[in-house]
Amino acid sequence: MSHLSVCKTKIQNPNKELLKRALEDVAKKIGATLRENATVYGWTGNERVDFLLEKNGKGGANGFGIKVTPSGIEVVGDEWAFNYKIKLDELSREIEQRYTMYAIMTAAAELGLNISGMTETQEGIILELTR
Amino acid sequence: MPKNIVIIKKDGSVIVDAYGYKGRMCLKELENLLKLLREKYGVNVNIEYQELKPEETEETTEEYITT
Repeated sequence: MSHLSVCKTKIQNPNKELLKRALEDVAKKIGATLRENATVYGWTGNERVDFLLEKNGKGGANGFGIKVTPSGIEVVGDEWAFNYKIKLDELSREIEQRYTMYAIMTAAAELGLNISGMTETQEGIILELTR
Repeated sequence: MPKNIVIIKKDGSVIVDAYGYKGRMCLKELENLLKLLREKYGVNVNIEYQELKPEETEETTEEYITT
């Protein structure tokens, strides 16, 4: 038998190591440096965060902060940090997508599945898991 | 060979297309995966739609064996 399932995900209480891997990918993509236990600065103030996607260069807002809260992953910061080229909500979705990818890959491997393929397309990230 | 194609979209949806499994093993596999995702990795997955696709040859084989 086979099936086609369409699911909706919500991240709560993420694994910090997998989150860090996801953030490293995102940092590379947007040309930022990933820092842990940092402060994010913005026009309206500053805040302590678990991770910081720090922009390269000085002055003004320093990047986007990521907080791990009981309800999930929260992205905070001033969009001015990246000259309004990166939107907070889009970044949040990208981080969650990459985290979900790493979580599925890790869980699949624990269940004895092989990751026989991984592709990134416009549609999304496609994983091929075989037994 | 059992295979799962998993598409992870930016809007938080995940599509799983499984094939090549015998009987209901595909659903068991998905159940185990979702349980691990939820309990160990904090990813809560809600199945919004599911379509079972019985494979003709496998069903025929199973029927033959039971009779």
